[in-house]
Amino acid sequence: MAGRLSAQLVILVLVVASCNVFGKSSVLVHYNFDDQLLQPGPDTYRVFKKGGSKVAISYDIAQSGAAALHFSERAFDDDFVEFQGVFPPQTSGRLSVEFGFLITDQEGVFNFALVGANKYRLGPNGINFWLLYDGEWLRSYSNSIPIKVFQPQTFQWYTVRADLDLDRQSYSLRLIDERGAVVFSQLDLILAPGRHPMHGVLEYSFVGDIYDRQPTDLLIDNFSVTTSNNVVPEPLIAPGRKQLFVDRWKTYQEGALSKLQCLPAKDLNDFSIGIEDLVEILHTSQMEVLLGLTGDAPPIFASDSKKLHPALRALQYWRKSCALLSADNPAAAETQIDRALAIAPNAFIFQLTRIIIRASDLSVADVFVDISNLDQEDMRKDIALAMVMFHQRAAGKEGQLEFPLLSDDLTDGLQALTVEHRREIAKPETALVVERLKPFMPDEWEAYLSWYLALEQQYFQLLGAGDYQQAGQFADEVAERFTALALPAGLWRERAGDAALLQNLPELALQHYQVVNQEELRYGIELKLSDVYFLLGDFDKERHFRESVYTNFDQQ
Amino acid sequence: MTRTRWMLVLLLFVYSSAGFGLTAQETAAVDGMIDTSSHWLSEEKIDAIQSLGPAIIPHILDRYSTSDDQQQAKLAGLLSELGWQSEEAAKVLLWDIKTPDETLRINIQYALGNLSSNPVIVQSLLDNMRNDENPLIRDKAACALSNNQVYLTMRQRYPLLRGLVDGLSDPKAQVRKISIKALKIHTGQKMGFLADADPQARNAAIQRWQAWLDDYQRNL
Repeated sequence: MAGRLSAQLVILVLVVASCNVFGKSSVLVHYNFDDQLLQPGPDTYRVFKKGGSKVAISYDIAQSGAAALHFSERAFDDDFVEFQGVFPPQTSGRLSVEFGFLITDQEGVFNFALVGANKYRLGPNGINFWLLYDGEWLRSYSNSIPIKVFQPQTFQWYTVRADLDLDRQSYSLRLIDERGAVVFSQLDLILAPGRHPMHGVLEYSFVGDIYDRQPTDLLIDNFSVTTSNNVVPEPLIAPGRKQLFVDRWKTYQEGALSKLQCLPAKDLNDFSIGIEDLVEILHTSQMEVLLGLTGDAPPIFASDSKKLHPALRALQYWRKSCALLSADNPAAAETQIDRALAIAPNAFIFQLTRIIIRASDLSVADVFVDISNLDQEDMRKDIALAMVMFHQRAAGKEGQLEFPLLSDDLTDGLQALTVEHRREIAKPETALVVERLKPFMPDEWEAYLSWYLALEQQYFQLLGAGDYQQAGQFADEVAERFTALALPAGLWRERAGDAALLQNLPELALQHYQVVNQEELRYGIELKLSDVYFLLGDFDKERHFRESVYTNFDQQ
Repeated sequence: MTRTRWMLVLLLFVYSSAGFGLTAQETAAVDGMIDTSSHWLSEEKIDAIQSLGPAIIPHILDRYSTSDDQQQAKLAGLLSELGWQSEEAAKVLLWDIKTPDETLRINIQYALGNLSSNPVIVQSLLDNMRNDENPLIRDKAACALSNNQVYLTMRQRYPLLRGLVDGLSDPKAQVRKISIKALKIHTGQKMGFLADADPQARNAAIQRWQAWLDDYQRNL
């Protein structure tokens, strides 16, 4: 199981035991906006802005050094400016946040928040710390109440120092003016959503008026987040990110192809274990069981599962199911996973596991439809498809691979469709679901679905077999056919590019991705292009494509 | 007549004859987008209408005043999606806040808070949440109070929160449930309130909410 999951749990255990074994403090985030190379990305930060709004490095006014970050935005421009970033999740210990701010417009509004996995809503694991300037007062949320802090003056630098005690769910706040005078100081404020047994923090955000009613004109400088925990941040292997696309794919694929087996869980959300479950697990002293069931070691099953928290019972059924699947006993594995699903029917990993277990009995069409219909966007869906297709081929169920042919009737039917309808039926989520496909193709839907399914199946069989060269050639050929039929070929061009990247052929991947990028906007292709340019050593283009998704600051 | 008055007359003439600053083709295009949509407008159409700016609102309100319930529901949804502050639009929709048509009423409830911070809106929604005969309308009024009051200031939010805390004492269990749900969305907390608990336990939690409200008010 992923080490990240275990690490989360180790932190939780530290909370249970109320251990104060933190080493020296670690800096999680530090920006003074002066001279360091600032690289946005999925594992660092990004900027949101639109139209005339700006989030810019400004050399006009700085709190210290040469530069500060300047947010400017008009009201009612249909958006708000934001500087948002991530750091390793913190669930215990003390967290210190410090930054300088200066407003140039008394009516300008801004917010600063530290949030957990539930992101931007007040509540456990959501917004934990929230500072708001409402055009009159700087306020800080405590126990869901926006308490008054201070009325800042324009063109004066103020320093905010907040020390969060995640174990006690409280914080202290100080505001210091530019002469060094403490203009506000309060200890023991309750965290923004009130006293809840646990709070996680993993993201920060500076944002204008979230309702877009007021303008924003603000500078910030010397922003840092520090933890009392001894954290060694995972290094970035490329600008702004800790893994490339191929690394993520290979991490999941590793070991997944030898036989049908469970795919690893990513985090507790995979099991639908929420914060409230965790609190109950903590209170009933069952954290050790949770650790035992989610660690890398073989699981230790509780002798009397009736006493377990339902989420743990479900987790135990899942582990048993995985063990039975590995022991080639899919029937018994199915019984166990059904028990897990009876407790947590929406748990992504349970749903995926059930499809994998039943793959031997299901038709290829059912496997594709079932996996396509899983709500979560997750690379493990493709890995599961590859594994299942590979397994079915190895079991000799699918026979010799031949390029799926298209009948004349179906060709005519496709050519009669409007461009809009062709665009729609080229998507797997439409093509593979009868009730979605039928309205577009009342007569030929069955023939089209069979053809489309055969294409998907063949691609994933080759990918599953690790035959990336064949998978790439096949995807390329399908893309040509799609183009000839005036069907959008972006998905297949992207797949051809993915296969090339998996073969360590970035030049070839580039050719495919470039076509997609020019012809059809596909979500996430820019980051793959950025990966390719990184591998090719073209760092300007790497930056260009990364920053087209993870926007960087403007330069003033 | 003074020069200023002439200017005013001229401006009024231009304003009315040119469809409030829009060309006839533009308003016709908007009409086409509205008429060719069944129950709601697609994102692309909303974006296209949005690109014309708030000058289109009077035209939408004109259409609203001469439409049937189904069309009005669609137009209320459109105004909500456009999200421009408009006291005039809020006033027009408020007339229909008690309309018997369910869909129209729900759409109006959702739209109002996206159009104005007029305190009448919060009071009307609280009234629907507490007193409407239809539980679905009550539920959707609570949703609108939870999520759609985008123009309220901190001070204007207080009567809304107080109304929700009052809803915790409602004799109808459903009203108590939707009130605490809305409070949780606003504050992230329940303060131990369970809608189905015995009255004594509920009262204890309501006391906690009252104390919290007092704290909130002190900080305004």
